[in-house]
Amino acid sequence: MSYNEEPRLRGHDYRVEISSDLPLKEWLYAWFLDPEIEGNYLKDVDKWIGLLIVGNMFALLFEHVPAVFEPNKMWFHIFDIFSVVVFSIEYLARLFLAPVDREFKDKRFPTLRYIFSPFAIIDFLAIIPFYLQSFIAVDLRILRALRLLRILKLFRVIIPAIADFRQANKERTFRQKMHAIVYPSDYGGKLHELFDSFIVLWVIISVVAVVFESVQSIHYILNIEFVVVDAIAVGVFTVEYFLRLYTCVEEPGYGHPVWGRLKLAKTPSSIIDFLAILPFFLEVFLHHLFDLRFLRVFRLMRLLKLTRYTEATATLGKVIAREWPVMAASGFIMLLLVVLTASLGYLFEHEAQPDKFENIPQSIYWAVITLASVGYGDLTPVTPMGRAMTIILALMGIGIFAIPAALLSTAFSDQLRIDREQLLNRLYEMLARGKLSIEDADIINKEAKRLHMSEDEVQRLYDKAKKERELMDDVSSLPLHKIAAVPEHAIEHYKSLIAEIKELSVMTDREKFEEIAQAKDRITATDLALWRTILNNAPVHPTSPDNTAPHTG
Amino acid sequence: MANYEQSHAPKNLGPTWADIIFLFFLLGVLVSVVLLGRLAFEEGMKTERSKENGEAWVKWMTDNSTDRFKPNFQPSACSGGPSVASQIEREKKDLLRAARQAAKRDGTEDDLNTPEQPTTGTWGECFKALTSKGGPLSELVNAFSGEALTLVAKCDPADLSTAGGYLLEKNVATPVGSAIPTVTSTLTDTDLIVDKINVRVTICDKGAYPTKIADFDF
Repeated sequence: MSYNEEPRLRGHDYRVEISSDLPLKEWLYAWFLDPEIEGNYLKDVDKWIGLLIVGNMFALLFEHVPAVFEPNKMWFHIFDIFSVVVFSIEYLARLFLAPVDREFKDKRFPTLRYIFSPFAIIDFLAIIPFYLQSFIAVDLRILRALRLLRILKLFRVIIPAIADFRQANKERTFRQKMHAIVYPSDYGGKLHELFDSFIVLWVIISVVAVVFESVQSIHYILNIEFVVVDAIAVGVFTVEYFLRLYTCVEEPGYGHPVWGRLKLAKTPSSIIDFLAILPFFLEVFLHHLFDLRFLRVFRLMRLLKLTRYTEATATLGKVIAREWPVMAASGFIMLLLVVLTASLGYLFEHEAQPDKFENIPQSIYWAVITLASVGYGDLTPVTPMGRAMTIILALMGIGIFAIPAALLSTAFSDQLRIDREQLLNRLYEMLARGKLSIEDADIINKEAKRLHMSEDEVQRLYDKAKKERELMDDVSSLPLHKIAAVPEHAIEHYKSLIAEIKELSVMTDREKFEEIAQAKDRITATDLALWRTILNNAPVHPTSPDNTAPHTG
Repeated sequence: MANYEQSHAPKNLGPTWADIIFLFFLLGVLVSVVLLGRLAFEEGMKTERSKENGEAWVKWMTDNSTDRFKPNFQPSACSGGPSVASQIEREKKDLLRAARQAAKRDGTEDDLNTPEQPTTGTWGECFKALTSKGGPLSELVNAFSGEALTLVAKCDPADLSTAGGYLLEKNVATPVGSAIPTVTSTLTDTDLIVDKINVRVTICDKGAYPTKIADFDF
């Protein structure tokens, strides 16, 4: 890279380059375990180990449901073996790499120090019951209880996150700290990410539970488990909802203690949060009076909570808002066509099929199904006129009903282009101040991650911005001697001057220009020849000594 | 945002009164969620006990589905097989004879159409034997009402008194080529159980919605 001194720009697929010349231990540590190296595989290791721990917790829960455990005993056992193998590899790898671990390498007996460190003890406790049972007859219940120790492995991620959070929030109030955990900010760090992951995990668990609850055979077996999962999910979401309401006053625009909170409560995401917990309370309080089973479906709204963590819905909102007039026009045309089709269908088919095309509202169903090319076939025209009309309508429907889809798709790519242009403009602004600072790079990296841009794409954008910025500087503001100092800049400046001459020739009266130039001897013959060459695009002969005075007509 | 927060940075960094009140409020909310969760759990457990009731029916009927065709099966009202069939035939003839005599005596011979049905080998007798005092399924209790378990005609969400009740139906195979393989209808007292029948046990859950327990041969 030519801009080594500047902070590195990364895409969402950024991977650090680690020299393969390093000794094996150091190379392995740098790739997989070094928390100081961004872009190595530590995050992936933590993520997959975390998921495996969560999977183990679920396995442990389901082992207590005989209807699930008994028929799948073998799979549970395989999963247990797999988990222990992975955890053992992790433990041994950390043990092997302890001498190069940043925490222990400067101490005496680093491996021994590592073995007796709290995290290593937790890792050891997570796997040892499995090996113990091979030598000692351990009661299954005790073994299961000991397997709960695996959850402690999560502390390897949680404790450093808490330490970082405390450091970053040293000078902040309780409410500001809570705010940093719940809302994205510069102070939340890894703990905020863990909080988000925890909420996302519960959203997924509760939505999966609602979906499986509708499967009678599963609901029959796991009825009580579903009740417990729902109660825990509601507990988690309720605490999250009130934490958001309480700490929102730290957000810009929500500062007032009452109106700020009311304002937040009225936002779509807060309404979604509220609706996600409401069915539970209504059902518990009112189930004796009404049948509130239908409310359970509303628990699926918890899925909408995930919109907070993705930009996709925000982009969709922007796209719809931007294209609203066109979409409304297309909707109006569709409406017109549907009503017209339904009326004609009724006109042609009512007499032949009075039971099916009983009235125009009933024909609307047929019209929509035909125009949208769904064609269930439950209502079909039988008269020649009706059939002829259906042919035309079906063909028109393909075009008309495709308009909103095409609009949305185009608008989506436009939005992406606009977002990237905005990123480019930000880069221009940043480069105008000189080199990129670490903060600038952070902003660009976050934006690139949001836009799902690869490292190559970000780099290309950066190169483009840098080059254009340089050119802009050269042409518009640099003095001539500075331009002349760099031949590349001089060429660009030359091209710009030629373009200006061409522009001038287009705008002026060329005949009069030549007449005056020749008559009053205002410019030299060479300059006039050059003028003509530029205007006529005549080739300039590089070897000719008169290449500045080509043949003119 | 950093500027905004810095400009609003208060001097006292510990929890304020508002924070403490909020924490107590949050604790209260959590306690209420736990209590309501417990309520929901208890309601769920009632449905579980109703399922156990249904499963008790299924267990007894499947356990005895073969034995009831053997001689000296108890309760005898649930017996099946050729001996019961011949007994029914005899009973039918007796009933027909008695009906004719009665008609002759009353001078209404032309009106003799349907004599009384025999009770031997019918579901009604078997049900009575199973649920009457001392019967193998007489101790079952409705988890929702706490009263003795009752048979319902159908689980009706509009009538919550049917919650916890149970439903016994028979599945009858339809002729080959029919759109549906079986037709399910309520087991009535006069249904014969001399031969094997396919039974469905259903219980009514908390909201009086049906929950199928099992289909099996009896």
